[in-house]
Amino acid sequence: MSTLLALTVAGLVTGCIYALTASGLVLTYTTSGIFNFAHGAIGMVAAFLDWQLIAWGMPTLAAFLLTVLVLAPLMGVAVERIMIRRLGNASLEVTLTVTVGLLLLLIALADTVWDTRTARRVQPFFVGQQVTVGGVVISYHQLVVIAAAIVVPLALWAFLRLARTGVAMRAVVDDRELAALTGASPSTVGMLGWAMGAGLAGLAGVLLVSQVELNAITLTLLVINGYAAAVMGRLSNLPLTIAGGLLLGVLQSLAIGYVTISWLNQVQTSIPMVFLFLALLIAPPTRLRVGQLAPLLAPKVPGARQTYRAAAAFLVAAGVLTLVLPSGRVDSFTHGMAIAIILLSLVPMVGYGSMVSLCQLTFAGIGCVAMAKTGGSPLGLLAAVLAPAAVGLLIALPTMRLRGLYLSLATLAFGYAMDDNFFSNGSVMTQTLGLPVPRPLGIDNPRAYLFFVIAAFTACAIGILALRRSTLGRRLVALGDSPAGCATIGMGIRSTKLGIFALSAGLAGLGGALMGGQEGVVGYTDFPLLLSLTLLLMAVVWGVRTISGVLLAALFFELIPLLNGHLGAVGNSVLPLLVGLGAVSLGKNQNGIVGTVLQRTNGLRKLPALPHPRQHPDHDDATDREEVLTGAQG
Amino acid sequence: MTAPTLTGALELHHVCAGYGKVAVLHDIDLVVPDHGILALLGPNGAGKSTLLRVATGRTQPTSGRVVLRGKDVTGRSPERLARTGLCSVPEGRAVFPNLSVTDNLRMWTYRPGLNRKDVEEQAFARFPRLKERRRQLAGRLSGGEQQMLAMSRALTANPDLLLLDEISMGLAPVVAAELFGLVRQIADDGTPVLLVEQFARTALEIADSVSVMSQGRIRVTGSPDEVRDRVLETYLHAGASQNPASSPSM
Repeated sequence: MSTLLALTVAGLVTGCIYALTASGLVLTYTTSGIFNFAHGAIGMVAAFLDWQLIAWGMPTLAAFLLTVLVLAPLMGVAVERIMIRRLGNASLEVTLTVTVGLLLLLIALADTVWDTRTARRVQPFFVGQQVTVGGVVISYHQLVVIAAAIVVPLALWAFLRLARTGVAMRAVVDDRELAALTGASPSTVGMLGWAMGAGLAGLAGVLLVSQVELNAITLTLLVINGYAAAVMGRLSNLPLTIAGGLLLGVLQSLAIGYVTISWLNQVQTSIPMVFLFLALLIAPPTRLRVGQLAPLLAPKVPGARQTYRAAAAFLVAAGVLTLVLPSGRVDSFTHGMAIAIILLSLVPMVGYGSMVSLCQLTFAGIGCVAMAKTGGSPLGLLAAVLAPAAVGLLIALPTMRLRGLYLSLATLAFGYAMDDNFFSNGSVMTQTLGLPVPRPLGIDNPRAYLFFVIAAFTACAIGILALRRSTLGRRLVALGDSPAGCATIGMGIRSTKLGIFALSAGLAGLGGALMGGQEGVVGYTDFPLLLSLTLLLMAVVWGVRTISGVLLAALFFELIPLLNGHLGAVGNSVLPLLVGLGAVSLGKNQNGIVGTVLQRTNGLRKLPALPHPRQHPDHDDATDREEVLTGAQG
Repeated sequence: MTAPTLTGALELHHVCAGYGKVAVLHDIDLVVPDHGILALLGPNGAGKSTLLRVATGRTQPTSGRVVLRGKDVTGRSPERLARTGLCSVPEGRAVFPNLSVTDNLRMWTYRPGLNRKDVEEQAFARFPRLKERRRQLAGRLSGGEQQMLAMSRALTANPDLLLLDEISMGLAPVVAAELFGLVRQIADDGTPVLLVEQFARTALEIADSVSVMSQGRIRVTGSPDEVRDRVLETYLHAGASQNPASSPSM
């Protein structure tokens, strides 16, 4: 009994922290309409800043106040000014990617500034002081946490209800334009929302830090747990969000205390993600958005003849490259091309269908494991495609009615849970030795294998483009543009969605298997969720709607370790910085680098023919999307 | 005809504007006189709402100048224009549906010199219905009540210029008539009004002068009597491809 009580109290304390971070997330989401993936990372950086201030000799309380009330909010303001404000009405894939980029950037920054090899600890408040209530020992620090979780939401509530600026914040959520017409400044309000949200993330980070070791990734992921609570509040309801946080904390604590299932070795840490998944399923379906302005001119889709010509040229060039490449580079090139296949799986999903999957590398990992278990025969390759495709279907089925952000969060939850329970599971691969992966079809010569992977990439790319030109491809684009529109013309979205999930997962699995074949042995850390996010970022920055975009993204990704080798210690911080800059640039070039280049060149070529933009009958129907814009004016 | 004075309440000089590559307004010259009601009429898609977006700073003109009370305000943000005395009631229900009536009234106080108490007193004195419902969410009010709430901003703000966009849309004729009466009263109290309407009849009755727009240009300007006979002609001429059902209710 006393154990139960003690666990519940401990869970409530953790839940308080979840509630705090989740309310910050809800605040930024409602005031700016952008889900801040980097929320956890902001809390993490705040925790490091707090440690640094204390290490410089500042009193604990002063450091705490300075971090939570000044530094973290300033971080929020900076983020809003530099990255968020330029996004405007950007599509989900862009807003998600920008904040994912921020998350990766902050983690890399923290790892660079605060050397990961040093262990750091922050003392809790009032070290050693505690009270005993009903047989349960509660430390003063825990009391501080509970007090914060009571005072802060009340203050927040009072601010939003009673202060004019608080009313204006709610007004901006309701109707941004009207708020501006009454004289309230939506951009100031948005900045304030980000400052307060970052402050809350910082508070959660600082309160957590004495409980765990100071590590960038651990802390970030811990604060991410608050997402589950935020989803329970449907990203808008603060009381429900706080209740969700508390419930989550208690459930997790009880699971740690009572659940002992040997084969699910990490089930306790996955509780928040399972909770997130369930909350997503229970949450009422999102309202269908009626057609919106297509803000972007989608890149042209090449026709069949053009595709075959380009593919043939590419294969010839690749053949030459395979022969002349220095032996030391063959392996990394092969790896890069396998990554390119994984990124290719994002094109139909994210690029065409506007469904942002955050767990593509997880599917790749499943494919790799499937082939390792069945051998490198053609059968093994088939398994590498079919196993993740089946898993993809399983994920797609319950999340069928989720859209946009909620769908992305569901894939995040899945990837996170797989990280903890599948790849690190002893029956999948041993942690010390990893899992040996055979070369598919017994191609042992590295150069021959490289060409094989390139050929596989080319074949898949041809297939994707053919798919885009087919009926299914058009349905996919229609689905991304306007599900409501699809419904009104009687187009079922179920089979399209299921099909694309399975296809994309299968393709990722193939890429994963080919990557595993190159590496020979894969370990449980080879398919981490964070890397999925990095890959997604790369793909979107370079252009996730085009084949050349994802190819360049994969090659650039492969170049990073090489550059790192040349630049030494600096390289570790310069490249994430580049990634971050890429994320910032997305605000302007939302079609990615390749998309922008294509648009420029197209524009130049087509300029004289402007009065009759449709005079090329062989253009794909998506090319003249901008005409949709004419329906805009009142 | 009330000849446009040299400095109107609002002047647009050679304004062009559009969305992306699509031009909507072509070289618009418009002077809103500093007293009385100017009705801006025109068929669907004529560019009336875009003109209002430019006047309120929500859309920036690609060329031309916007002058408010003799001051060039081209490029100013909507919130700054609002604080300097431009009151605009946009199309649809210009209230915050998830805010209570009192919270909505609180938002009206961003205009300098207004405080919460005065705004509430004035609004409740003019519309006792709002006082009864002051704790309700604005979204739960009837259409007419929402429009009352929206108009209470115009009443309390004592603006330099009032812009109204299709305020009668979707309202019962009785309610619409009441609203137009209120607009007339505001104008008689000395506030210049630009009234944008798609349906011409009522607007012609209460306006002091009228401009008719079509296809992004001002076609006719004059007194209601002068314009009355030419409206239909302008509408039909401009919107030859339009569905007859959407022609004005003349």
